[in-house]
Amino acid sequence: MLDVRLPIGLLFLVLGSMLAIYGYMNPPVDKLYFNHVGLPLNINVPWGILMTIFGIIMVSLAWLDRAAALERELKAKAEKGNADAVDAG
Amino acid sequence: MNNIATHSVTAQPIDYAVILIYFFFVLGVGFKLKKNMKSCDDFLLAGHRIPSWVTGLAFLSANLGAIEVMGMAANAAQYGMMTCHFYWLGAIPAMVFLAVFMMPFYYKSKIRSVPEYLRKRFNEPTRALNAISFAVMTVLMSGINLYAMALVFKLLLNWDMNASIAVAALVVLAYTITGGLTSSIYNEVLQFFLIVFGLLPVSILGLMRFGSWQNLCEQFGNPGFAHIWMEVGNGRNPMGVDMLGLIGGLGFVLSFGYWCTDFLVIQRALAAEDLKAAQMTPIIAAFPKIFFPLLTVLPGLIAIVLIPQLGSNNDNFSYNMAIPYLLSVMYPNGLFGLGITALLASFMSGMAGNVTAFNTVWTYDIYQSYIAKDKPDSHYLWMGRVATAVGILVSVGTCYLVMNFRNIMDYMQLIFTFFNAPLFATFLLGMFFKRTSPWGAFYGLLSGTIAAFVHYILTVKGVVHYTSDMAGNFHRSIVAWTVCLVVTLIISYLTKPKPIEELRGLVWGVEDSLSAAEAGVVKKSSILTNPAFCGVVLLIVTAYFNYLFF
Repeated sequence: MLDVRLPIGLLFLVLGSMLAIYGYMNPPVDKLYFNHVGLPLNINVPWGILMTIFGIIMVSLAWLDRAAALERELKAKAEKGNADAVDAG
Repeated sequence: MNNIATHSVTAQPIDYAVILIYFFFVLGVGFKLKKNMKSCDDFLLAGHRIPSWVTGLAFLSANLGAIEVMGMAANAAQYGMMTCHFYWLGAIPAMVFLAVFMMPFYYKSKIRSVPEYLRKRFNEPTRALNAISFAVMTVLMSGINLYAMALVFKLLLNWDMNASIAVAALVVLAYTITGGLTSSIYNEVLQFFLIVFGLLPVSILGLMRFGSWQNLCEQFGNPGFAHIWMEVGNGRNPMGVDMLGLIGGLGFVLSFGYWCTDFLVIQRALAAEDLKAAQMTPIIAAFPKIFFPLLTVLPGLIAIVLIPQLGSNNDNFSYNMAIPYLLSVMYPNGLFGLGITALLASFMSGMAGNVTAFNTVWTYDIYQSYIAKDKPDSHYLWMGRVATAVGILVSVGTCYLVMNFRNIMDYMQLIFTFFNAPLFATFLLGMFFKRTSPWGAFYGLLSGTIAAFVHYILTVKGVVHYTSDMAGNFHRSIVAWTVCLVVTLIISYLTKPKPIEELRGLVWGVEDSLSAAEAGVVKKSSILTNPAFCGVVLLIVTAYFNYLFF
């Protein structure tokens, strides 16, 4: 079944990099006021990077698990093959 | 005075792109899972194969719908830090109790729904009563999410309310009808992370704006806003509640009633792969839950300081709009889209949660039990899908009903007092007292629900008076619970109890006939995965927070 970390990771990877790039290209100069005090930082960039990192972690966890599962499967198959060979012998 | 309208952002293509990408992923997950939905159990129960961290986050976000996010922020703007009672008093203790004491009975008895437990423990009529009232409750709740969403989208994006209701209903329909409970759970986990990433910047930017928590507190018009317990004793607190209402009503009846018996949340734990995972589900959910005030209460407090118009008679400035307003004044484009997507996700998953609980109770407890017995599995799978569609349609209807209520939080607590409050008394007696008889449970539950209705009518007519709607709801829940408890006990002693043989594995203290292996108990495990140990840790941390913001 689908590993839930895969879609989550991919979504955050896409959205995070989108935000970071958009923020970098469009810094909110004087557009944003907040009770007459400008926002202290161009939040799109750090937040986008954070989301991208989170996305990468989720996707890698999903891939690692899948790789481990494949390895186990191969091992089981190999052992079964050996056992069959012994039987045949 | 600072005018928000001149400073708020308007949605740009980047914001719409974020929303569209989210829709694409949500629908993609549903279609990807479709091929796994072979049997009715796969569709309605997720085939009992989901790891505990996933069910834990789903458990948490199934009730992270519109009510949690907008309602709690609204409450914070209106009542201050006392709103934290809904977390630290009204959620964590009940979640620990569910994990340690009740989950073993739910999981080991191999029930598919909460009403089914009532059939095994008591009798058919009790189950039918609960199944029907639960089905009614879920669709009434489901509508809140749609309504809140339509309201937000009208305000922030100027979308037509009917159109946004239709679009959200269609998307939820598409992913629940294809992937069933699994799809709903997956989307709940996705939504959990979206909410965290989408709303946390409000709190971060807000605190940066004020410099520190102390500085923010100094800005409150009412100093009581910074405390959660200090003004409960003298009754002059902003919420208008007293000790009995708060601890007995919210801390005991409403919270235990919701977290320990509401099938919407229990269903997530039952989807877990084994008993240990099922027990750990509420525990894993409780750890982030402790910190949720950071995402809901804090923005509400920031909102009331920064947007003084909030709570005025103007409909556009209702407390419910605290978070949407903050998004529009604090976020730049891009992040604004993410914030909107987070809200959208919370509305949709809140609705999907209700719909997936509704379709299970309808299919198993009403349709299969009373309308069409002994049909092939494929027939019930089909019925599950039909129930999903019908549930969504009815939610759209109830959505227009909610529009008549001024405050969504009051509407929700009101519904809980009718159905969950008496049910908790039934469960408490059923699980921990073997003398409780089937007919005692039935009449107790019935009279508890009726008592809540009568109490509500008396309150509306002005015969019973409370300082606030909230206080009324807390006291109503105590009345409903007490009536159910007393009637159940009296009738139980007048009627015959079930023979002990039939209570095995269902009641505390009656030896379990299932072997440990059969019930899926894992013998060897570390203390860190022991529900009781984690529960104690949770309670200590919660107590500390109560002390910190006393």
